[in-house]
Amino acid sequence: MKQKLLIFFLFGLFALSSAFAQNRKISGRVTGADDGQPLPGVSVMVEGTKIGSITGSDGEFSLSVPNDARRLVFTFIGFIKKDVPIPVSGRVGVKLASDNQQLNEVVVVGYGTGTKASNVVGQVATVSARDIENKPTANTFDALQGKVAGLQIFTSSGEPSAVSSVRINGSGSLSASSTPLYVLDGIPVDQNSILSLNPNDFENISVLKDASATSIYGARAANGVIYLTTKKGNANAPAQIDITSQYGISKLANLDFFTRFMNSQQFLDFRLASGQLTQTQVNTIKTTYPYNTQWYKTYYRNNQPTFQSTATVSGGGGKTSYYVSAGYFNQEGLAYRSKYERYTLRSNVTSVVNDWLQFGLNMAIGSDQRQTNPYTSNSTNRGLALLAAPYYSPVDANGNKYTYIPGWNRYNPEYLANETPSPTNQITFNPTGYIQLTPIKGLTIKSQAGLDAYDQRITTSRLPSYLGSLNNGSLGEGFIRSITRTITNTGEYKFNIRTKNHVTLLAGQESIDNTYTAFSGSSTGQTDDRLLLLNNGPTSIAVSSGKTEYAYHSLFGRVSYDFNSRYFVDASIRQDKSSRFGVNNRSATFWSVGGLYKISQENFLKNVTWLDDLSLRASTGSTGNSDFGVTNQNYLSYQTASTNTYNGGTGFSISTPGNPNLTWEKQQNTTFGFSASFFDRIRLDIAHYKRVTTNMLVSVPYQYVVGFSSVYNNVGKYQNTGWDVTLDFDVYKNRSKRAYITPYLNFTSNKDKVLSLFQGKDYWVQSGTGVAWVIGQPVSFVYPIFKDINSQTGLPEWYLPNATSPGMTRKDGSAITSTFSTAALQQNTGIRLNPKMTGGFGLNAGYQGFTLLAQFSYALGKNLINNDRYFFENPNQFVGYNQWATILDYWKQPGDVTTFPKYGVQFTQFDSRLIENANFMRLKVLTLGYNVPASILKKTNVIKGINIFLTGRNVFTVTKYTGPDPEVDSNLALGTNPNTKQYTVGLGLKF
Amino acid sequence: MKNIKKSLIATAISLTVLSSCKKLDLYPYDSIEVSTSFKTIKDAQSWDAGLYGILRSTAYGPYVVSQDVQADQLNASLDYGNRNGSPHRWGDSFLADDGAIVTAWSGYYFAIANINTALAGFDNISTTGTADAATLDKYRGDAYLARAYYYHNLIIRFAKPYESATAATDLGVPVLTKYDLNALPVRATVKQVYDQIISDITKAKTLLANTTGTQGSKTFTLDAVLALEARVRLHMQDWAGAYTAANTIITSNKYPLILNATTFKSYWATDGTVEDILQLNANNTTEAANTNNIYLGYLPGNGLFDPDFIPSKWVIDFYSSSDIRKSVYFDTKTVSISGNTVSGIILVNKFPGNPTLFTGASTNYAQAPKVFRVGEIYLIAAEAAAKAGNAANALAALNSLRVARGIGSVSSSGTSLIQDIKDERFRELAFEGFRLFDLKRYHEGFTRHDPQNLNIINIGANYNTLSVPADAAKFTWGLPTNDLIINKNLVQNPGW
Repeated sequence: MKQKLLIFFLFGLFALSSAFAQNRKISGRVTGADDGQPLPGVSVMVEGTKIGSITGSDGEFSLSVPNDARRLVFTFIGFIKKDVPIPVSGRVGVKLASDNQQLNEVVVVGYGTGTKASNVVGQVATVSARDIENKPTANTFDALQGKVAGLQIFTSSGEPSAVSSVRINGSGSLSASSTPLYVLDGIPVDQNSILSLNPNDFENISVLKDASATSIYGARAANGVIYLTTKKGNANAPAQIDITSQYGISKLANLDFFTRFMNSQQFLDFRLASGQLTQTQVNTIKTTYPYNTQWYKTYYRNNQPTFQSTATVSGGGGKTSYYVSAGYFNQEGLAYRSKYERYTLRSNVTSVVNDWLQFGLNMAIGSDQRQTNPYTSNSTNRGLALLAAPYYSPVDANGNKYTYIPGWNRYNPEYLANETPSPTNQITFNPTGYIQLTPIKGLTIKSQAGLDAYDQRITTSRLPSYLGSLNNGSLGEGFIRSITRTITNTGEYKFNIRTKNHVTLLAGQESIDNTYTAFSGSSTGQTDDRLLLLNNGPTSIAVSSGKTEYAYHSLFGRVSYDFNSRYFVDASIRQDKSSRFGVNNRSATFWSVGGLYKISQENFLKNVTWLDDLSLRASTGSTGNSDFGVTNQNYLSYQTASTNTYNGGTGFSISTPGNPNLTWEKQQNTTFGFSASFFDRIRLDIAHYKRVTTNMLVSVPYQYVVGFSSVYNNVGKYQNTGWDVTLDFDVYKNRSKRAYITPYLNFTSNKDKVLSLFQGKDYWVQSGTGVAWVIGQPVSFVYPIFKDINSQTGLPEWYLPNATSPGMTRKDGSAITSTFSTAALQQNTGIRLNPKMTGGFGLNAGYQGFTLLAQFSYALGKNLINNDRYFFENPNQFVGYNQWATILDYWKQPGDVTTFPKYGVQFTQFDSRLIENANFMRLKVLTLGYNVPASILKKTNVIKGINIFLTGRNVFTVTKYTGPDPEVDSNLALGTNPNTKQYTVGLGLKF
Repeated sequence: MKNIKKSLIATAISLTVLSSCKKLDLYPYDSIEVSTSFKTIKDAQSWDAGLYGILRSTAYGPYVVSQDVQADQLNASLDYGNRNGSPHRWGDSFLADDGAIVTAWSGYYFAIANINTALAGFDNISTTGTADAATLDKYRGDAYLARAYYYHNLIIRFAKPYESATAATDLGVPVLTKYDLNALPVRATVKQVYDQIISDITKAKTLLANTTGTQGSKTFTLDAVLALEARVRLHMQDWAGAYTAANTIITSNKYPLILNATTFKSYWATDGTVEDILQLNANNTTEAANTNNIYLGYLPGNGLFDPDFIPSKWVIDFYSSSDIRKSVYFDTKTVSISGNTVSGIILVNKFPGNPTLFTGASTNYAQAPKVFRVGEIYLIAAEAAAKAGNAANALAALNSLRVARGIGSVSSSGTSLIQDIKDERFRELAFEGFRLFDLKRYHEGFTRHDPQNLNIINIGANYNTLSVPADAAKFTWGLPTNDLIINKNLVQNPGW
């Protein structure tokens, strides 16, 4: 607290130190060079002094200047700075030329007022609105898959409310969260809050990768930072109205998985041949159930609607600019009771009050209704529903749907969904406001406050008419409120020393705290579908509530220096304290240094005409991770006792073993890179990074015997190294025909390596996951390694592991066994968990009014345990349940070379066979658009633009993975609700 | 003037902002620090209640079902979906990392860690007055008795049965009497573990001396101490000690045996208390216990049944038609299994679910767990007396039970008396988690045979014809590999 007060006291001193004198009055008018319209809000300063003013709504200004003043400097964001001599008498008339280039390239990241993109020392990649808008998904990040080198995005579920898993330059931690820090207009937010925002409101999304860009965010930035900036109005432009609507359908992205099952004839033939059934039993089944059902058509819907619409008004006048938008999104999922519907409102207002004060207020509200299919991956009501024998039928002989499917003994999934409506409504509120003072030239003092807040209402119900519990309904009503407050105060001072030395000093303070509260009530025994309130249920009446909090207090500073816009150096430091850690270990300090060298500015390269730009970058610095990646992470440093109830009395039992020494996970990130552009056509950016994570937050294994099988500790060392490469080039461009063909390509190749662990171990297998940490190796799958089926005996054979160190791989053909044991046979398969390479390529093209965008994404070296096969290729284990037709290839007599062993021996075990290559390539986005020419629109006098577009998402997928979806980001996939594809048509209008 | 105004505004903003910071010393709301949880007698009461809450969560469900599916009385239905499949099939797929094994090992040791914490913490509570001191002693007694109960459950699962000749060298389980996260204990011998159990029982007997037993008591009483002592001493082959403890309960006449089928039915279905020395409290919201839900698989959609496990025909036939247990432990149902609708299948109905504990219109199989009931005590008395050579006392206890259950008395002697007692344990205690450990203690193997209907069960040498020799390695469960990897002082059981 003391430090913060000191900072503000210093700010006060700065303000007081500015003195001024006045002698004569000057007035004038500023207009835009393009349209001659008056420009309000333009800063007018007397050169070399702190005397200045701001133009009014009519572009007029007047100010008093000292007698010795010579020149006036006019600056305005989005326009090229201009200075003019002060006339001896009369008015000053100034025309400012717009500088769209500059407008787009100012990057405000890491606090402060921003820097020209090309002068940013850190490694920052920015995606503009065009790549974010109008994608047929609520999930902003899904559309960015394959767009930015180093940004790995996987969407693991086809639920319309799914959010993606996002990684920047590999997974930074073995077991703590690897999710980046999301910052929305300066305020850290949860990724789930972004789902509740309208993607069409984003001006751009910046990905901050290296320490030079991220260290200033300290203890939460070890996984990189994603900075989202929302749109603003232009104070100097007439109001513009945009309305965009899009309609389409969703289908399963890939049907291969669903069509691998046996039909009735195949299945019954197999059951007879294997001895599961006698001929008599087969005949009985054939008579009772003469059907042949493809069950995926029962459990997943087809051609479900998706719709979205956004209307915006933006513009400004006088000193104030605004951007206001309203949006609606509605998408039905393919599994029953799967849906996402969202209403959004945003209002961004900025006002320049006078020459030393401005403020801004962004308000975003999202209200959504979300339902997800409640039947989990291993439920036979969805995830494993395809086990249903094909001879059963979901409809009777007349084609009427059964409520309860005979034989299969499960309810019809649609009926189940209708009888158990469980909507969740969330209202997300993301306001941020700031006040910015400029007491003297170059000094900016800014106070910003914001919230990341949501209220969530969760209803879970079972109608009294549900046959599974007739006349005995149930209802649960839950309420959750989460409020994260962020308050940031910064002071930034920019000054020059002898014109060529540019210095920016930044100091700041930040406080973040979160309060999460929840309560719920439930009752059962409701007897009437129309009377479904808590008080209608007389039995099992229960209540509960919960509350958690955390807080961060931080101080930070940065020095940026450049000489002649050629040599750039910056250094940052941040101190963080958090309530999450042990009392003695709460504080940590993070730092970075970085440099940028614009070689192309050197005289010896000035004559190389084909080289447009060449820059070298290098940085190193530390960041922290305080996100354990588990929900109950706020109080892990305490040994706590939580409560149970016995005989109506409160009982204590130990809930957390506690570790008073718990502290931050630390990361050192070192990056080298260069960017270049040639011939005005080719742009290339290459960076090499090395991230070394230490003091990792790991739930270190303990013996069950001591009461807890794991306790959080700071242990181990882990490294990610790799290359980020981005290339795009103009194959063809013709400005007069507005024609261009611009292919692009990017990739990241990442390599991870465990450097040390805990308890002196050289490897650790995470029980039940098939994943191991082995020192000197990447995070790898450790499983029994399958050799083959012995063609003489029909028995499966596995390689014996190295008895003393299963962290090694031993594939010795003379050391094999037919006796399976997960624990005894597990050994390093040499297969990596994390993808080797992710990236994308595509094409932007246009001709006259037509535009084409094709965006492919891919992942290579991606592997996944296909747990579905354990269920669908295991006829002895799951007798009577349908299987893939692949199981028909089983051993029958000596000499048979088969995929599966003889009948009676377990066909599939949890071994290396299940670890599948899950590489994939998807046509993520395909958009064909047409802009109606202005010449036609002029006649309407109203409409300024019409854009018609067709967009497809996940249009096609190429993969060898045999499960439902290769995109799942996990060690193991089971019963995935797979990604969907959309075909949509859209219309955009500008007024 | 203007700059003074600017500074004032800046200062005002900053002060507003600074006043709203949250402090960094934040504590959980749903739990308290253990270090602050032993201050008053009320804290001790909460730890005591907590111990019972844990006891309830380790009473039924996998803690009972796992060993029963591993034994000889049940067949896996075609729809059992591999639930509890590994213990049922024995063999290679039954591994030390099986859920059944890990659940028991980790569940009991978690309970012990809590008890050790509570016992240490109770010493920090300063009592005012003798009433409080007596109350605190009762809580200590509860803790000692619960610890003895858990160690006994561990030793019968994870070690060879007690044989006086080898108990001092046979490996038992690690014994921890203090909470210590960093302990790397060795396995105590079977004898050391039993010594620890008897020591805890002895302490509990003193501390609970004034806590008189009552029917259906929801907390430990002196009778519960005796019941556990009888059970433990039977396993230790301390026949005299087992008989004395059991007979003390029997002669108190506090827990009369039920004589008619109607009362016996409600005793099981609706959690009657007549024969119960300890029945744990349960309700359908905050105090739900684990359930033994593998036997019925009621399908509300069509009113049929789809169980995971079905009793073999010979098991049902083991009960004569006059046996009041037959119609209570079993019921004839129509099943729908893997497309087959078959009527007349007899299913285990010992745990049908108590309607007052339902959360929906149909059963959730919830029951208030019976931890000690007098039927077992009669059988302990009979077996201990018979083994000690006192046939008269043995027949008295055995026949009391037989007559009550409606199957009349016997007058056997020698090995046939022992066999009669074993058979009666089979009948009386079926599906309560005793069978496998009795076979292990008797050093008997088994062969599954005579299922009710081959069309609805899994068939084969791993299933309905599985044959297991006496003292087969997997009668004694393996130690979870997690603990072996972390603690090199632990030794695995043979055969795992």
